[in-house]
Amino acid sequence: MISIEASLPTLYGADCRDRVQPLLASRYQSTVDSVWNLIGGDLEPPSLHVVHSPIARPTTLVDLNGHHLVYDQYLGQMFNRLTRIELLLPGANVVDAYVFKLFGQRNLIRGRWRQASAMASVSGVAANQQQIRSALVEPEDIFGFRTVLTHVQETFAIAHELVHSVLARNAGDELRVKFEPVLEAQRIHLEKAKLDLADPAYRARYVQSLKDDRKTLEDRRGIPNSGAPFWELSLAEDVAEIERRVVLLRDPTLIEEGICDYFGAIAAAETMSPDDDDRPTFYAAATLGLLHLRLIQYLDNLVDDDTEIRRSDDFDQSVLRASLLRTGLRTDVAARSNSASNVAEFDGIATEFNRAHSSSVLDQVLTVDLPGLTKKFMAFETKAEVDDPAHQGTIREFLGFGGIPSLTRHAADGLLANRNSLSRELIDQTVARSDSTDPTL
Amino acid sequence: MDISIALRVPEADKLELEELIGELGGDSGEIQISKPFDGETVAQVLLTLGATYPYFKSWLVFRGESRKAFSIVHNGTEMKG
Repeated sequence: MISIEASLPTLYGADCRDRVQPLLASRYQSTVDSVWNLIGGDLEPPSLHVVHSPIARPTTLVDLNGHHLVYDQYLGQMFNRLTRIELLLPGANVVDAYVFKLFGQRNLIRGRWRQASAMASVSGVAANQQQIRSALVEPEDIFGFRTVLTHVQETFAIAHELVHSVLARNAGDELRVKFEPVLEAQRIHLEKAKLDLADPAYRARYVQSLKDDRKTLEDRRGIPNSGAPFWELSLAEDVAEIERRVVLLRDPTLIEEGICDYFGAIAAAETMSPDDDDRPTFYAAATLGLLHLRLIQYLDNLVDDDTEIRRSDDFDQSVLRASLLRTGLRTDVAARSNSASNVAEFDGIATEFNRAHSSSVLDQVLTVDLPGLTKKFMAFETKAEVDDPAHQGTIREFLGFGGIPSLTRHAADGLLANRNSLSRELIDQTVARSDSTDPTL
Repeated sequence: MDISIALRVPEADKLELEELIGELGGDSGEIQISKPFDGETVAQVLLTLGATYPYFKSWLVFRGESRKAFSIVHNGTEMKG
């Protein structure tokens, strides 16, 4: 029988264990132990396997030996960088550089070498290392805050998977029962949203906030956006959107994900601090972690060239999951502290994180037609070139997964030459022509 | 040269994977049920393809023709069928 450990190089890459930091691996094990003590009852905890690869998604596995959790250390690096961007709000070029790199990595894990290569080059043109470094210099207090936020997000991701592991063993009935009031609160929240939208004064404020967001985005990019003005949707269309979410709220898969998000966040906060006053920040950090994980899903959907309908469904799920988690955690904060100020604090921080994520990362992602941009710059390299293993090593190197001994100077020079032939203006022209600002994504 | 891959199908098609393992004999691992964050649950198996490659290839072609979802993972790269 092939053990999970023996299968990791096939699943995550031959070098997936070379970059794992033993200290972090041991910290992840402590996290698993602490969270399991809270949610696992008498069940055997899953065995933890730590890897480091561009795949980044944590995964639960079941085989004849039992339950396993594979945690990808690279996810923590992604949380780290995204959070840093959201706290420091650097220029659009620095955000672009990271988004292009992420999209390159998502192409890399699908074996789309030409697309990955194009994104590696475009990322380097958007901003060079010096520009990125200077834009992301952190004051000491931000450094400390970002470190805590990253830690919470990683703990949340691990705890989410551990709740899945409990549910997969037909346990966790108690969790399902406890989640019912959260679902009910979310149903009420959606019904209220429908009524709010029908109120002309509320609707005017809602439309104005959408326009303000678009203006902020255009100011940051310095170019007008050619996407359709999504505030022109009719009331009926907006209400139909909410009704789709009411239906989705009955979907068993979504409910299970909601349970894992909710109890994952609570377990993460519980293991990190016993102090109820820390909950608002830790819970808000978990909501940010969920937004980051959904961003990976969105990029993967783009790579897989999913249909508009599938992407739209997925967007509905993202919005609903984020809202469900927030509704649940707000209720939990209120029940714990019996203090309105803690609830207001949670709402304030979560809103701030959501706004920072939308304005600095998500809106940038939605504005750029990533598949179109990739296609345009793929022309710089032929299939034969990227089929060369040495060249593939270079692409991995440029996307942050280097260390391939066979890397040749020739291949590196080729990629650098392509970079030099691109220009920031060319990228901006492509972005300006992008027609992908679709509110349903 | 032997090559190690993982073959993934939707969990509902686990039986087909078991049949394939039966045909391939000793060159395969046991079925694992895998679920990535936000991803779909799949049944996957590790296969070492050497002499059994022709049989595996014809299985794959048939599955592709019947428009059934599968993916192959090699060295951390997943190619969807």
